[in-house]
Amino acid sequence: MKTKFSVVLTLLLVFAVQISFAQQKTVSGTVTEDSGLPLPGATILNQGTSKGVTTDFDGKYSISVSEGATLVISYVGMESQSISIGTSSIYNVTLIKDVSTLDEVILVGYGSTSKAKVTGSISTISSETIGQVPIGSFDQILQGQAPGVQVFSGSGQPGAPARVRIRGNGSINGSSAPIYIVDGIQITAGDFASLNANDFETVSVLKDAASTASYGSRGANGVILISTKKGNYNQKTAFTYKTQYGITEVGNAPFAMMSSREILEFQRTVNSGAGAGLSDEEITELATTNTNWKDVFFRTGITQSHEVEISGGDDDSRFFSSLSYFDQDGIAERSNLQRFTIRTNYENKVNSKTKFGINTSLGFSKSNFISSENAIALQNPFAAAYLAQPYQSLYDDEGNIQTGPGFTGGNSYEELIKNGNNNQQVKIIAQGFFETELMKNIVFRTDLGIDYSQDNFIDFSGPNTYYGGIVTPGGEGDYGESNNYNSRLTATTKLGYSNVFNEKHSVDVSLFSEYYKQNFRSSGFRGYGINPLLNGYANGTTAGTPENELIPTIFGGKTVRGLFAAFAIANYDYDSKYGFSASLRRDASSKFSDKNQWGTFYSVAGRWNISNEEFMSDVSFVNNLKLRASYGTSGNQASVADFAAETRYGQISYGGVNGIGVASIGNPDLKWETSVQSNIGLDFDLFDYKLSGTLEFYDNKTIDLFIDYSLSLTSGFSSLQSNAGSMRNSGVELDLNYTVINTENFSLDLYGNFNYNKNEILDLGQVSEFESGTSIIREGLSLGSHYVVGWAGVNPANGEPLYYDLDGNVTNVFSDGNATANWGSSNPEYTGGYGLRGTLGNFDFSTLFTFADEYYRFNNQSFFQENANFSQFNLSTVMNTMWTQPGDVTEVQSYLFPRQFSSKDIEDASFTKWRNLTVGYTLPSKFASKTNFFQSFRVYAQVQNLKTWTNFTGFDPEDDNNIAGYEYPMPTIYTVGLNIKF
Amino acid sequence: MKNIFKFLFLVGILFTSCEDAYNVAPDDEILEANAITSVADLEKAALGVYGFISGSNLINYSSRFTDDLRLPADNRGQGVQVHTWNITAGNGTTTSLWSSLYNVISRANRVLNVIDGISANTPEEELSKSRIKAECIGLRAMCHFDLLRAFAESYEDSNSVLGVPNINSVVVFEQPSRNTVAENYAFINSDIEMAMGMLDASFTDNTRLTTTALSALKARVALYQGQYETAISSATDVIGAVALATTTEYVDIWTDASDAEVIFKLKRTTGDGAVGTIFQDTNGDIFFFMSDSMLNHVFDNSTGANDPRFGTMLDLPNSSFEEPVVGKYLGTDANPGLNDIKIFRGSELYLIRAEAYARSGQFEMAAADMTTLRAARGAAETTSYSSEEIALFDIIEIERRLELGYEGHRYFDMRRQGLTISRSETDCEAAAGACSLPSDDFKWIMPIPQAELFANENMTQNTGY
Repeated sequence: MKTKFSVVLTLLLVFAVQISFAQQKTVSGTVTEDSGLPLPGATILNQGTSKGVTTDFDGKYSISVSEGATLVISYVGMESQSISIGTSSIYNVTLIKDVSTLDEVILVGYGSTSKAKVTGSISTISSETIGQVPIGSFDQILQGQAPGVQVFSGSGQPGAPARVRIRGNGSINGSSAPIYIVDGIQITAGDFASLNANDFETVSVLKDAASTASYGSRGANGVILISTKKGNYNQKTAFTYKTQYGITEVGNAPFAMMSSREILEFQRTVNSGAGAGLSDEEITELATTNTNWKDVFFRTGITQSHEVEISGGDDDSRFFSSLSYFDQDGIAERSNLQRFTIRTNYENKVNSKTKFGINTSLGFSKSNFISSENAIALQNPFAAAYLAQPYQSLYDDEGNIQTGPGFTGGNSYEELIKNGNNNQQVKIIAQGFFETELMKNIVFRTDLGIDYSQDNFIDFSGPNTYYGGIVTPGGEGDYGESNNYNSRLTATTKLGYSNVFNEKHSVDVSLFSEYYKQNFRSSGFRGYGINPLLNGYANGTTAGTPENELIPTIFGGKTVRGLFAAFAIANYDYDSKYGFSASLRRDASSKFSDKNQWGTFYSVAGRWNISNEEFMSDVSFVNNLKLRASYGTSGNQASVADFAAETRYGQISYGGVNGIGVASIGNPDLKWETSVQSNIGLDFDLFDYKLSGTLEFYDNKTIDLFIDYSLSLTSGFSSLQSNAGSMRNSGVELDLNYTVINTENFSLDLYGNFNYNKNEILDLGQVSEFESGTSIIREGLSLGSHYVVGWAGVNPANGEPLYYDLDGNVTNVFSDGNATANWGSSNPEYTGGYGLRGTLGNFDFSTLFTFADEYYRFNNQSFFQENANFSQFNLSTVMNTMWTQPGDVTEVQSYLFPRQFSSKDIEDASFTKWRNLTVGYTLPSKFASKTNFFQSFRVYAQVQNLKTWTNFTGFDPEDDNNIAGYEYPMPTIYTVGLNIKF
Repeated sequence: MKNIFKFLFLVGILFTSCEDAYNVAPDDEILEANAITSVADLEKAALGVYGFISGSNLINYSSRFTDDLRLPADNRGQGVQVHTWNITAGNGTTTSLWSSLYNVISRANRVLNVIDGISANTPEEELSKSRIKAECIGLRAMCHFDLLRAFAESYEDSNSVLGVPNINSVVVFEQPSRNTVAENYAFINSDIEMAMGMLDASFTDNTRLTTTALSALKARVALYQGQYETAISSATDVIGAVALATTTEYVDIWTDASDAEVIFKLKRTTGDGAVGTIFQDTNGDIFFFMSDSMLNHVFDNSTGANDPRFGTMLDLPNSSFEEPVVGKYLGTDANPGLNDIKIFRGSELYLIRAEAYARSGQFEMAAADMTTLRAARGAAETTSYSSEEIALFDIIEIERRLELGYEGHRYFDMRRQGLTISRSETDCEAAAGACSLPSDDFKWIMPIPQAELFANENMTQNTGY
């Protein structure tokens, strides 16, 4: 009501005040949003001068200008407006939201451009989406945020990285992981535990050759470009405090294990294990103990974070600083992540032609891990939770943990709480640049940066623990430590020319050189014979002698590798209607032999901004329509071993004396794996910007695949890394945003992104197929196709397992030769995310769902817990349905027949996950301002991983590999948070 | 004008090639070009060849395949496939046997490939060079013979029987076909002769190949080949040089405290694979017990309290009649199961010579050797034979099984003699029905690995697989 009144009043004033003439006069007014709310903090700049003011909390401003001057009124996220000062002294301005995003700045390889001028395929993720999510590793936050970006998290260990794939797996034996560039510096993929994602301003995902070709030999699997927050020029220094507090909990665990009575009776049936030969009374007696091992191993953890951001700027400089602390417990005992980060970004304009900047981040993290994570090993608590016997209790009568052979649960629990496995990491990312206009239209820029990380891994077992007691040599525990030092140096130099001819032809051409070098050094040791008083420390180890045989081992290594590149990027635009881009790059890698050292990569791309054509001016429902296409190549050299071209010798010891022996045969013909990529995309904004989106089609063909060429074993080697064959990833991506309603009190946006990716192996060179673990790599199939014998059920007459032979006939003979590939792939074909976000009064809310379909996984766990041979461990309740007498119709064979891997173990792991739900409340600014203490105040609550819908029977259908083997599942995280801006 | 210079200067910087980015020195790598350039390097490379020898995989296969071991019910899969003869071309144990033997051969060939080009600067170096060459050639012969024993269709010295590929040079992309067994014998014997001609008898390190070890190898090959005169003469050479262990020394052989009668052994130190893990895990979990058949054999045929083999075959303190634990490779407290792997012991040469005598009709000579050997193990009686059949039964099925138990001979001896495996009821209780394997079963011959057939078009599989 009050707002309406003020609008009316303002209108009256506009009409009433027509007088006053003066050369220099004071102009005032109110700046409002299109919803009518006053807009505090908007900038009013007298164009052509450095004079400017900002609006107060009621959106009011007052500035002294001369008549005829132009005022530019701007605010982040709004379209700027210019007003000419006439005779009036009151100018009220309504800024409209910049929904067109026409001026949105998009990070592209080695620069940035406006969204309208982008020719390649790039998805952008804003800081609002990635900030404030209580997840320790940044890549996991990308889940469901952009089409064609598959993020599969393999571990719920706080800070654990995810498997990220852009448009499918581009390589069979090489790496398919994208590269990460922070402020121009390549950083280690999958190493984000010591980085604070809240420092990130925007993230661009470069997906096609046009956008990645400028990264040459590193870009084939896509590039994730990150720009950190920089502060703003002419902004009063602002302090922001952010905090979050909450809990982590084990999510749904859909499997059911047997009770004490069930397993003991089962053991009696199969005559193996503790229950063998027991009477009913004895079983009843033993079954009085019924330990729920899930409760023993899992806990409710605490998660919390505190962060202070300071940013600001004056006419010539701007800065952003942050200090953060993050602490998260895992849902398994012992596992956690603690992290400190400090960032300072500073940029200075020396004069109108020259500027420089420094971006630095220092992170320190400390992680404690569970033992044997993701391993099918009894130390792994996620295996022990399944396999420990419920008729055993954790503690004996004296309160000691029961350990020893056969005490699966006690041994594993003791390992968790008494032994250790941790890492401390220091990570420094520092980058500086210098840019100057050498002469008109010519810019010189140089960037220099380093990503340095240092890891200190420690694991130990005490002499008085079960697992410490079986360490060899000695049986008295061990202590191991390894240290890694990893530095990556990137130096890029650019000479750019840009000009506009006849106001319509805009041209820019840049020449670059880039120098990249990685130095990696590691060293470590493992000592034995631990003094129980010094368990967990290096000086608790025994000095080794030939007599006590407790000789410590020492290991280490050093790796240097590098790239040098020279490349050019050119862009041409005609009247914002047509655009053309091209790039050409020559790259030299230290990994290949002299003759294959240099590779050449290129791209061409074009766009047509249809909506800017005259004939579109009448089509009112189209705000923006752009068609673009690109074609080009990019290379892959990651995962090629250093000096793979050379035959290398290694240290081979005999009788404790070092010798040498050939360790690997070199292939001097090894060269880049090349991805040939085509992309067609349509960007659109329709119905007054209500419906926006992108539709893209792509076809990526990887040629010269890294394939292991099989050698006759008589050569002393089994294979040689070589280039052969080809593989295709083709697909569709759709990104949509629909604004249902956008009013003062209620706004609602629906969004979604979707990817269909079809992978096909086209050619494998020497052979047409080869087996790879439990999957088959075969021409015509997709990568990750499971390869097992078909399961045909259990013969009700005798409990015998039945299988399918190659002709589809049912047989009782199990033969590896009958394996088929009819069981789907571990790489999903359909992935994406969708959700909604909006505001209701001062409340805001958002939610996200992600999904994967046509996704099959090998459940290796069921081989253990649905297997009568493993009855010395606990079994799944499924085993209660085991065949026992003729006529039983069941899927569980009699224990008299061996259990084989079959299609029974392949499960449909397709899932939909309710990934995030956030509800927030922002104190109205007029209340906030009244406190005279803070500018804004927001409180919110959120939940991560609320629920999973799947048919998969393990803990978590989502994983970063094809086989489920007692992984650390993703936790459910509940937090409440507070953002205060002072 | 000034700007132009500035411009050109910067262009210069821009395109100054930073070669050190991509021409990186191999800091902690040894590339082939500079791996072996001196006699000292040759010494290292020779050690490397020894380092590739597994040694335990023949013991493993022989013990688990035959009737010497019993599978306990709580075995969790270790060695079950071999024990139950569930062997296919993809079997990991046979594949690694094939590949690890050719690994050694290829490393030896790589040393031999460069050795003539390395100049020796002193007479000592000349001697070393010649010794290293002899060792590599000798090891090449030994590995080819082990391959023949495992993968050849039979041991008959014939050109109509398929053996294994003879590899006498560095190969990478070659796809060699199988040589005949006769060609294998010829190649092996020629290597042995060549090595003997280059090796000085003063070199007596029993963790390396010596002239005595080469003679022992020659005798063993000749026995398989049916060249009994050679077997006798070579065995006699060794017997003359190596005395049998006394009963107390015998016990110490298995803790590596004594080297008595150990002609050639593979030295094992902390960090090496523990041969004892064929039988039990380092945490004490039993993978296999001694079979009842072997237990009875030991009880029936050893001389009881006097016989040191009683307490070495069995880990007496930890054994019961129901659960007899194999005691030959117990290692130390710090390194359970870690022992040197004995390839040739003096007693085997007595057994070779006795068998060769018996097969050539000299029963008295055969019996005399057996008497000598048994006396050394504490027996008072003398042995005598009345027929070849009786002699061979006594030498091979009684004494070799006892004396060389768990040393990698049983499987080959049974193959040579065409014996049938028939496990007792108790021994095959947990063996999933693998109770009997007739002598004509194709599984007696190991399959050529699937990986080899896949990569090598000229390879042929053994019958049955």
